[in-house]
Amino acid sequence: MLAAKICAIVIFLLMFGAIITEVLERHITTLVAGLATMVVVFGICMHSVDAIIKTLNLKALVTLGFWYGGGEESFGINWATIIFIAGMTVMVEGMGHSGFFEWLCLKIAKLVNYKTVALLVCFMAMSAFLAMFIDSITVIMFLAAVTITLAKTLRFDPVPIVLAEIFCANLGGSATMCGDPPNIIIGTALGYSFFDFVTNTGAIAGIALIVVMLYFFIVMRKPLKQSELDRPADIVYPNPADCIKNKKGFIGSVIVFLTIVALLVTHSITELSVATIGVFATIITIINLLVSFGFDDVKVVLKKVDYKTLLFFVGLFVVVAGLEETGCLALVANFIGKVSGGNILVMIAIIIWLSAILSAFVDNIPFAATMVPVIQAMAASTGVPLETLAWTLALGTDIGGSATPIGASANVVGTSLIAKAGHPVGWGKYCKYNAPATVIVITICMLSLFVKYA
Amino acid sequence: MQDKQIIITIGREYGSLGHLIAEKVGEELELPVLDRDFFRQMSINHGVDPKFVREHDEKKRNLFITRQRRGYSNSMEDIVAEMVFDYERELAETGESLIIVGRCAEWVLRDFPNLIRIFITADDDTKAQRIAEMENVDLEEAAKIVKKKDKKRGAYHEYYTGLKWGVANEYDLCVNSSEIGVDGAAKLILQYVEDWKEAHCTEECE
Repeated sequence: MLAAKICAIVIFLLMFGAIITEVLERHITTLVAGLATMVVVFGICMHSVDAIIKTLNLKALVTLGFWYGGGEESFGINWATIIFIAGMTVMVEGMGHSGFFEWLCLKIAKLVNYKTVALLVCFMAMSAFLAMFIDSITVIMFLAAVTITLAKTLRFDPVPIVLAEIFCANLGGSATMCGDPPNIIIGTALGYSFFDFVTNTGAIAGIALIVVMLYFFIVMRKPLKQSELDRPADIVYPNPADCIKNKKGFIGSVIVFLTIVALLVTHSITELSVATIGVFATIITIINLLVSFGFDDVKVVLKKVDYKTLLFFVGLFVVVAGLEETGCLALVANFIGKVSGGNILVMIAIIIWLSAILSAFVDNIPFAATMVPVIQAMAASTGVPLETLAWTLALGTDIGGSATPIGASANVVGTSLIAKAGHPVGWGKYCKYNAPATVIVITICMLSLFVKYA
Repeated sequence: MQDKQIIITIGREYGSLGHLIAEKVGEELELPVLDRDFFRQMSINHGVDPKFVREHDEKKRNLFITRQRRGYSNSMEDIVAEMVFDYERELAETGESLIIVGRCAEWVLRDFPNLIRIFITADDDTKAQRIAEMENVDLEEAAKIVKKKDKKRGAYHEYYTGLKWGVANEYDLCVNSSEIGVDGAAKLILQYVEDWKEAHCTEECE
């Protein structure tokens, strides 16, 4: 077993190193590491075909509980996460195809009469709200693009607004089960519902959002206000209606979005699993595209789905299963349990800051996937409620990533878009705005968790 | 034949005088030479600070402090490289003849017909000697500068093209400028271009 432990750790560390340095594409890294775990750890070291079968977790797909009624298996490849993310991606690509996001951004800009400070506040709120339901990369892709276009037209510096949008997208993502991949992993692995997240991480994220909006307002209002005064009078404002490529498709995509949101909000009552909702999202998006656009557009949208990320998850879950099956994660759990002396306050503080700091520099998805079995073991050995640890982990991993330009995918996309538009943002400029905001929000989260659960 | 587009790409080692050779060839053939100054103009046209382009041009991204997601990168080096490569394609698509110095042009424009790929090298001692004179440093220091600069150019080329930099079979003509200097190397290239034109004319005439 010692050899299996060592091999599992070495494979995990090599995988993590390769993910950080991106020497290979992320999905190739995790798939190779997953294969190595199967062959070396389960095959050569443990001689366990059962461990391989358990890790592949294919049986879960044919159980009723996986699709309806709950009780899905959480060990090994978390197919619910993968199917759900795939479905949401199809839905979001479909919405983008109809021009929904650009329309929404421009409509709001028009509603506030293109006033820059009001734009900052509205776009922060919209970024957080949209990220509660769709992935933060998509939110930033559209929001930052519109902000940059508006900045050119209205002559203001888009950097502070885009940075605030990035922060709020990550914060909004922490509020729900489907907002950020770590939450989907935590929710599906531990059997929490959308509603569970909203009432726990969501409530805390809501408080943090108000504070952080105030922070960005104070920090950025002066230059933005000045830009309003300097704005020339002969500006031609963009028309939101021009963004709608197909009215039928646009209305259809809004209906699809609202239906999926309703299904997510009520899935603890309807007992539909997130995997089922993911499949449903795919089906109704395709129907909408077929009816409104045609088969060629379905192909275009399906081609845009980020299959690499789905494969990334498959490999990652196998590697984490290797660590779990060999008992490595139980050792980590015992260590944190010992350091904290079983004190729930210390445990919350350790988990939230550890996950926040690590997520600021490394990919938070492998970290969250690794930490789920750790907090399960900690809860079992110390008697601390698993829920408390789960919300702590979710908040730490989701929000910690905002601190640096490499901490989360939305940060990468946002900073890339503004740099391409002629506004390069290095570490210094990024951290100047978003690192203090991260520290403030993590502190708020920690204190809220103390008050609520300790 | 005169109107037919020719794209000459010139890869060069530091101290090989590749830039001066490119200028000489450009002068003789009356072709624009795209080098650092030209890309400065590109950045102005794109509304980007030329200093930003200069700082990150022909450099490989730092893997530890930058990330890539879904085709987006927040590495300034990646962004400048993308900008430069797009510009190279844009100019090549105009149908005008031109010379491009460095910047993976032989790889970026590999699908364009009438591409002549040249690489200029020189002996290590010669390169060090030239840089020592140009930068007013001693030979040892110059050798270090040359090594460092070539290492950077090689890493940049390999990162964006996936191909080893300066390997002969990636080019149509490799010239060592140590003995023949700027004029000799330019003469060789001009002769090659002449022969290339003749060969292509023959093919077309047939």
